Amino acid sequence: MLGGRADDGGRWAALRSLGALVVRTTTVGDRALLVVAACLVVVAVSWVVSMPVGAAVEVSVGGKVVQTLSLAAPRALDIPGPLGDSEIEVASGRARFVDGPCQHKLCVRQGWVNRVGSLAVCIPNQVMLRVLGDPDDPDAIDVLVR
Amino acid sequence: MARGGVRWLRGVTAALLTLVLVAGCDSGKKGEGEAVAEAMTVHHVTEFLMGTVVDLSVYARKDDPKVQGAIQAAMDEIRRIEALMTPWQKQTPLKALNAAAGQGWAPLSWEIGQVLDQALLVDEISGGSFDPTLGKLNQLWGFSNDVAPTAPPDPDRLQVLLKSAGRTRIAIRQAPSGREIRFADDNLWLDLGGIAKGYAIDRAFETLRAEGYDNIIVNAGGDVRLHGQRGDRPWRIGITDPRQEDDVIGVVSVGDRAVVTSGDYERFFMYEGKRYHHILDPHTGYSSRGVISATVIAPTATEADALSTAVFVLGIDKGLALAEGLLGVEALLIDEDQKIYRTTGFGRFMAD
Repeated sequence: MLGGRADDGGRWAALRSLGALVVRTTTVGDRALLVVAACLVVVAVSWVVSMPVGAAVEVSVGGKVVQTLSLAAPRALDIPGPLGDSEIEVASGRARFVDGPCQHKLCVRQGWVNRVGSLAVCIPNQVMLRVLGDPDDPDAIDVLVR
Repeated sequence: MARGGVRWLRGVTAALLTLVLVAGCDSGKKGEGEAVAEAMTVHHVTEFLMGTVVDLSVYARKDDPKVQGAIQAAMDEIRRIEALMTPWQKQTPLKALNAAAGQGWAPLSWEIGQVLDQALLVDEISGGSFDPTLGKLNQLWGFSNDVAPTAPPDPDRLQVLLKSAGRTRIAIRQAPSGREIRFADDNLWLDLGGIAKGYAIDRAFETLRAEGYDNIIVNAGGDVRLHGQRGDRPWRIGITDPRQEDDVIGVVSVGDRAVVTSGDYERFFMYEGKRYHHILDPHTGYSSRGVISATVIAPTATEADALSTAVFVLGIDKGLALAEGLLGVEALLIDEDQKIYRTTGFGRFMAD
């Protein structure tokens, strides 16, 4: 706490001397421009912060994460599991199992996953996809009952 | 011109200084809540157990040194139950018990007995819709086999095994050395598949709670028990759409409760245009018809697991009536026309 206060004090002193510098070296028009620039910076920062974070899919085999793929980049890949390769596809911000070495193909039947927190699993081949992203997304879920 | 250049330079310098300052202020003004939230995360551990995926989630500090050990202890507890009474292991005490069917009284272990008691209770209150003595019939159908069935079994054999099953066909007694069980003959086996997973979830849940974790999800193949919340918002549970598995029919938040869904879409085959799935109606010996998905909210996963099967088999009217009559139990059922029915209290768990 003490460290924090000393830090704040230093910041205020810097602000005061910078304020004096700005008053000495600028005209009213310059200052107006500065205010506009500052506002623009605040808007830009808040815009970046509000963008959805993550939006990725985590691929794990036997419970161990092997890859994390952005959902923004379409791609197809084979993930080796105990039974063989599970074919995975990422497209249009979502991911799915295309095929696998499993018998029932329940993983393929689950279809696409894109909701933050949802899982698609091939139980026999122990391959799992988990959608990562902002947990405060209004559509986000923490667990899916099925 | 020169003067204007100097002023312009001054302006740019001041603007840059302002930018640095604003950025600095922005990172420095984080509220206390935000700082706490940043130090927290959901720790996930996934393992393939009980023939499904077990996913344990604990909301705790990122640098919590105990959390991985606690989750492993909970996983060990699930492994212990799996080795005791689930159908997914080759040798279990439950299978040993079945192997002695028809040979008189056999010792019934405390823990298997306790789960069997709950199964028999649900069977009784549901008019025989949750029968833990269908082991032989389940084996005949073969939904748990490595090789998926493609056709219904021989109807004559099915009728023999159906008549041999039922809770009146087993007897339990208290012997000086502990409880004992007797099967009427070797045409019936115990199968706790519809309840043992729920019991394993409860045991893992209690392990995490005993380790001091308040904000947890125990998920075994889509059967869940939860406690607490994720930071400042409740845990959000999606309920799978039974005919559109990449979608949800709704989101619920249930606090300290369990949610289990029984669906006809998990294990099934199509034969002559009809869907045959793993939830057998103990009255007919065939796949239960009428309901395609039954979700039950209950205080424990053991109860939710058994009751979701029971209300699935009972059907819309009787299933809803059973859930309405039980304290702390709510149900959501979907019929073959994909119409949704809910108990009166279910709505209060639905998220906006």
